[in-house]
Amino acid sequence: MKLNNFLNNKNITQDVIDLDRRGFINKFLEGTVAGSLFVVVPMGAGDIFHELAEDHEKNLLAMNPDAKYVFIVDITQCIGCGSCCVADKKENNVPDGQYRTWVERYVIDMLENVYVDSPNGGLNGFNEQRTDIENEIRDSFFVPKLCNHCEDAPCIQVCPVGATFTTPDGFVIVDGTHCVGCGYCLQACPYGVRFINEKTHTADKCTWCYHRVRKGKLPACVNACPTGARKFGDANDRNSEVSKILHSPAILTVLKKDLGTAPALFYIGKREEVV
Amino acid sequence: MRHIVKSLLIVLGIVATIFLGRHFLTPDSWGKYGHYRADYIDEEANRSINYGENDSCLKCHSEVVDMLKHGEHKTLSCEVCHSPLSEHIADGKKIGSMKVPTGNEIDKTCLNCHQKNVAGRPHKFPMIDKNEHYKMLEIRADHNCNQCHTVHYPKENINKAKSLSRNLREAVDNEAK
Ligand code: HEC
Ligand code: HEC
Ligand code: HEC
Ligand code: HEC
Repeated sequence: MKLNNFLNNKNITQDVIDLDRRGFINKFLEGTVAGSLFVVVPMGAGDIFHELAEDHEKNLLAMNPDAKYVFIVDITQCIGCGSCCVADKKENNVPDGQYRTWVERYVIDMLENVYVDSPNGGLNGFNEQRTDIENEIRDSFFVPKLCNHCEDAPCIQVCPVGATFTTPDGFVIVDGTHCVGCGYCLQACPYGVRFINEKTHTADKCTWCYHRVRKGKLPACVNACPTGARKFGDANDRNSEVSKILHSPAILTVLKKDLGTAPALFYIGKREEVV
Repeated sequence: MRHIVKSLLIVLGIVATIFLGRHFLTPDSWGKYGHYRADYIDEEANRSINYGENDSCLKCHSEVVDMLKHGEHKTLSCEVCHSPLSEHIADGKKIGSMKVPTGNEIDKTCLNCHQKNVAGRPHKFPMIDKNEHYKMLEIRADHNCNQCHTVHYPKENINKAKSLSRNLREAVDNEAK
């Protein structure tokens, strides 16, 4: 995976598997056995054994299935300060060396060579000019990356135990209590946003701060961004900032459109070199 | 006859095992919305928040919050330079100290955003090169940014000084008339 070349990320999946092969196999088997039972006996809403738990926490907003949440990153505003990464790490207790969101610096020279780096995921900002580029620089910019919350998410399709799914209000989240850490979703994600959390040993990724959104707050990174390069909201709400941008002449693009994953993360000012 | 009863019992046993297995292995709320455990949605949503946002500091640090709001740094997050609220306050009481950058850490913080020599920043963003800036200001290299720029309101003193000297100049001009 290309990302690993410049994120200080090691090959996490492999490490976890090697570290605890037996635990992994046990967990995985448990998962598949349970998984196959679900297939044998199809589950329906009319479960005869269980009453569904209906008690919702008082301080949560109700899920809004009519909302279409989108995230917009404006590359032309990003100064590469890393505030978003700092906020994200602390908000979500992300282990060192792992990233739910990160910032890449693109440098393109006159000969169309593309250089990308992301020291420590951009967590400490970008304080040095790259010294390894000999030709004159044609273009340079920062690209924040995070989960795309695809409408047609490959990571969900490959999960053998139904631990990752799309909520009725459109967020792709991971049920850590159900995940067996098999790592299929890491391979399936075309955007490299998933990792096996070193502390929990389960798949983890950006949730667009679902826990904040359901309490009426913005994702931590959006709140922390000093230049408005990160925007979040409900595209179906005509008064929201994101809806106004989506209906403006601004050109919005998504990453790897041809894969047909239908991301809900849009970019403004994305050059064709960005992958 | 016996063998029929026997095989019926075996079939019954298998069916019972499947249903019992399903009963014990299926989590509550599985299948409510789809092929997953619906209860997890609210478990995830109930995770605690660490960042309280700038307004959460208002009750105890209203002067600083007010300052930030009125200056060029109004879009900055207190907790990115300091620490998340959850490490500082619980149940309305102070439980831990905030990180406060000092000395060269302050310069590093400022330059994370304002360093000029980093390709990639939009050109319209106010940026400086520390050496050039200090040369222009005719000061020694060991000065820290906050000696002139109030961290929470970076041009407060500079604007005050400017208007003071403008007033002085005008007063001198008026007297000369
Ligand atoms: C750009 C980074 C930055 C931001 C944003 C920021 N601070 Fe600070 N803050 C500092 C630094 C650096 C100091 C110490 C140096 C100084 O005051 O000159 C400081 C000092 C303080 C102090 C005094 C601490 C002491 O021991 O003297 C308080 C209180 C404080 N900040 C609160 C806040 C609050 C509340 C906000 C948001 C409204 C905020 N800060 C936003 C960088 C920041
Ligand atoms: C419930 C009141 C309360 C709230 C809310 C609060 N603080 Fe404080 N804060 C304190 C107290 C008390 C001190 C200690 C002051 C002293 O020692 O003079 C303090 C000290 C600080 C200091 C100095 C370093 C330290 O820990 O002694 C900073 C910086 C600071 N707070 C930032 C913040 C920021 C940023 C927020 C909002 C995210 C915030 N505080 C919210 C009560 C509060
Ligand atoms: C998280 C990023 C960030 C950090 C850290 C930061 N600033 Fe800023 N600063 C900004 C933004 C954003 C603006 C507003 C720029 C604009 O108006 O386009 C600004 C504006 C300014 C301005 C006014 C520029 C002008 O001409 O309008 C000064 C001076 C300044 N900052 C100095 C500092 C100093 C000194 C520090 C360190 C204590 C610092 N900044 C830390 C983001 C930051
Ligand atoms: C000796 C006082 C002094 C120190 C120390 C100082 N500055 Fe300044 N800075 C100024 C003054 C005065 C201006 C306003 C220049 C003007 O408006 O013409 C300024 C302007 C700026 C601007 C706005 C530039 C622009 O293009 O609008 C930024 C950003 C800035 N300083 C950042 C910093 C940072 C970062 C540091 C620390 C590395 C720092 N300054 C240290 C006095 C100082």
